[in-house]
Amino acid sequence: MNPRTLTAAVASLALSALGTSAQAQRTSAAESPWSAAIEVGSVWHHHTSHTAFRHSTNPPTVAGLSFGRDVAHLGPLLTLAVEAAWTHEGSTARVRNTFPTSLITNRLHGGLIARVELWRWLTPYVRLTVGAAHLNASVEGSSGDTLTATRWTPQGSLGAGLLLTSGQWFRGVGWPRGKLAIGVEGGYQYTLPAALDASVPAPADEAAAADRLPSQTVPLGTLNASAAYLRITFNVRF
Amino acid sequence: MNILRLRLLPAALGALTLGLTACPDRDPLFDTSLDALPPVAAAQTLTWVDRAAAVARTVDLSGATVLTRATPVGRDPILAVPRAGAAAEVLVLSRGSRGERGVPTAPGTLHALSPAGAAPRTYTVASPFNALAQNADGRFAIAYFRAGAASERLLSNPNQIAVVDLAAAHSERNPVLRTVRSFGGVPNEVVFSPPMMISGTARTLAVVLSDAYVTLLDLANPARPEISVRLTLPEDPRAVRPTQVLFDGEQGTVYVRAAASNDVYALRLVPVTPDGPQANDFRPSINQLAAGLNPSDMALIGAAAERKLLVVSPGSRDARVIDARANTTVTIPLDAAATRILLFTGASPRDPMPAARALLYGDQNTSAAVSFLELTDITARRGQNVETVRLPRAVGALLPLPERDAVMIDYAISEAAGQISLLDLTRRTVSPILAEVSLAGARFDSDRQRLWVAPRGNTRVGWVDLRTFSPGEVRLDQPVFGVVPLPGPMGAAGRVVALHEGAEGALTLLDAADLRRETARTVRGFLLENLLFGAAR
Repeated sequence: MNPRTLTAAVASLALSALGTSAQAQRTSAAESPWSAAIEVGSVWHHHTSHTAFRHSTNPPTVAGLSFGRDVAHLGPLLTLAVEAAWTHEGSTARVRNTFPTSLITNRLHGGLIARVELWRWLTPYVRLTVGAAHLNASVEGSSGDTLTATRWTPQGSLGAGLLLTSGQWFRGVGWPRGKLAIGVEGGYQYTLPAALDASVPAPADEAAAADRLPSQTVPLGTLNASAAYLRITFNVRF
Repeated sequence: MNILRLRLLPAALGALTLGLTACPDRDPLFDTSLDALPPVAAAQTLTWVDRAAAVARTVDLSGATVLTRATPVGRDPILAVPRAGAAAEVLVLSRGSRGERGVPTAPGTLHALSPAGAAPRTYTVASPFNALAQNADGRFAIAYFRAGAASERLLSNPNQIAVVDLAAAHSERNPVLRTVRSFGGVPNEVVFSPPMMISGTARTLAVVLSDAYVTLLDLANPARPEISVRLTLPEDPRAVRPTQVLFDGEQGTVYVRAAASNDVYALRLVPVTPDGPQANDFRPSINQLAAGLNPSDMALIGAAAERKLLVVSPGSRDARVIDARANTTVTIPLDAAATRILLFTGASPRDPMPAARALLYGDQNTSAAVSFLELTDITARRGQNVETVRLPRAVGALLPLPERDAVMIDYAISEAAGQISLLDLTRRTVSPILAEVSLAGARFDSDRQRLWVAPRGNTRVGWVDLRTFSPGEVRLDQPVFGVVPLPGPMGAAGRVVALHEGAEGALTLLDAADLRRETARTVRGFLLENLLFGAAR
């Protein structure tokens, strides 16, 4: 057998194996189209504006929830899914040796996920999201008042990852569609830089709020919250 | 499969690596303290200087919206003052940098900032001076080393000064750096003369006050050498420290009063023929005049032709009228010791015609009485020209209201009421004003229609309308520590700024034409404006 024939034979066998595996995986994915996940991870902001809310180069921690559903199977290998997700990121620091600062970023987004169903247990994917980030920045003044600035700003992300999926471990308890999965994903999330105008929030007490003198906001500057990210997801598929 | 995996994994790893390696260092400005110099008012603006950031932050209060503008100044700013005279500018003196890791060396500078936002003028004064003096019209400034402050340099020359012509741009000849002659001392203060007639021309002198000597500089001829005048003999160990200088421009005489000396020094500037183009055309002739025991204040009285010096000396409880040219002294005993002189022109209970008079009083609780002195024919009538008015308590401080022919007396006691009296200079009556606050820190508004007080820690600012002497107050949201009345633009009503505690900057703006809480508004955190830009602001 010459090398060319051998190569063709191996390729044919490999494709057959892949096709069989993918068919099995597609069937598996079709059996568990829903997913719910919690995630933890980190983000690496690259703009100095963010360092007003972060003491060191240690990246802030992110946590979140997401829900998704497979919506289309394009051929034997590719599955498209959509998801809705929320993530929460918080960081604190102190600026000018006096003023404690904090930044809380809540991101709400919808995503489109393309999974390549190579094996039943290991699935590479890419994920594209669009949504909005809610920035809540605060600077505590030395006199006790806290300047607060909140702002919604558009954001999107693109990432790629791997999903490690269990077998039908819950078949024994009467839930054959249930599976567990863990995913690792890295990517970049772009957030439109947002100008933050801060003011001291009105007191909760209505009478006190009505008695307060009108106050002018102070521009803190433009925050660029774009960042590279790494997320680890813990999924339940069903 | 392998091909796909090999394409996806590097993408993910690449993104991760990018994120990890692109994480920026924290902006170094965030780890410095926000230590701002006290605010300086110029036109309708207040300027704070952020020392660590070397940025002057000008808060424009003229419009409906408070605007803030940041202007870089020299490194290590140490002093911010309003420019004297009509030019509304803020002068910022910076010591520069001796060089640190990541910080290049920088010379000392003087920045003149315009409240309108025009490009600042920068004068390189080179040395890390820590004090600044200006003449009355703001034309000249002298940067110098005030005694007692650390230079923070390996070597420094404390007698070096920089003479800056603020009316001209920076050039090789502006500022002029020179070292004043020293008899072992260093400058304590620099004062400027009004135009002095010397050799037939009017010129401005700068007088550098040092322990036991003064140094005269002719600012019209900065290349000429300075003239130093000893106030004591070289072997005299007394710390005779000049504390007050008066200039008789018409007679070309400089009067110097000094601590630890019972004499007043009259320096008569005598024209001489200069030896060359760079030589001085005058020399001082010193006359030492006895002025009682511990003279504490002096004033020039009389017309130019018969100018005399009035001196009060609490140690001998008298006032003295000194004629430096005739070298004569008339002593006027006082019933109450006086430390200060307030000259005024007005009527008296016995004389409805306005005339030159003086109020002699003792501040800082020296005396519970004041003396009115009729200056007309004083040398002949002496004690007959004195009228003593008793006060409820010893005087803490006195605030002249010349437009109202009155003075406000602050007794500076801790009782809750009755700390202030209004002394009518014409009728010579004393009326109490019930007050919970001291007059310390009281500020007139620009047209002197109101006097403002903002007792530290109180949430109210108060005022006295000087036309009617009716008081008022406005409640604010936060405790205050100061009040700054600002003039209005183009004849409009001014603004009054109440300053609140807080390193981040906080103020309440009041409309002087409508002084009500309902028209007030606040701005908090303006010193943190553009915080996120950090050092790149």
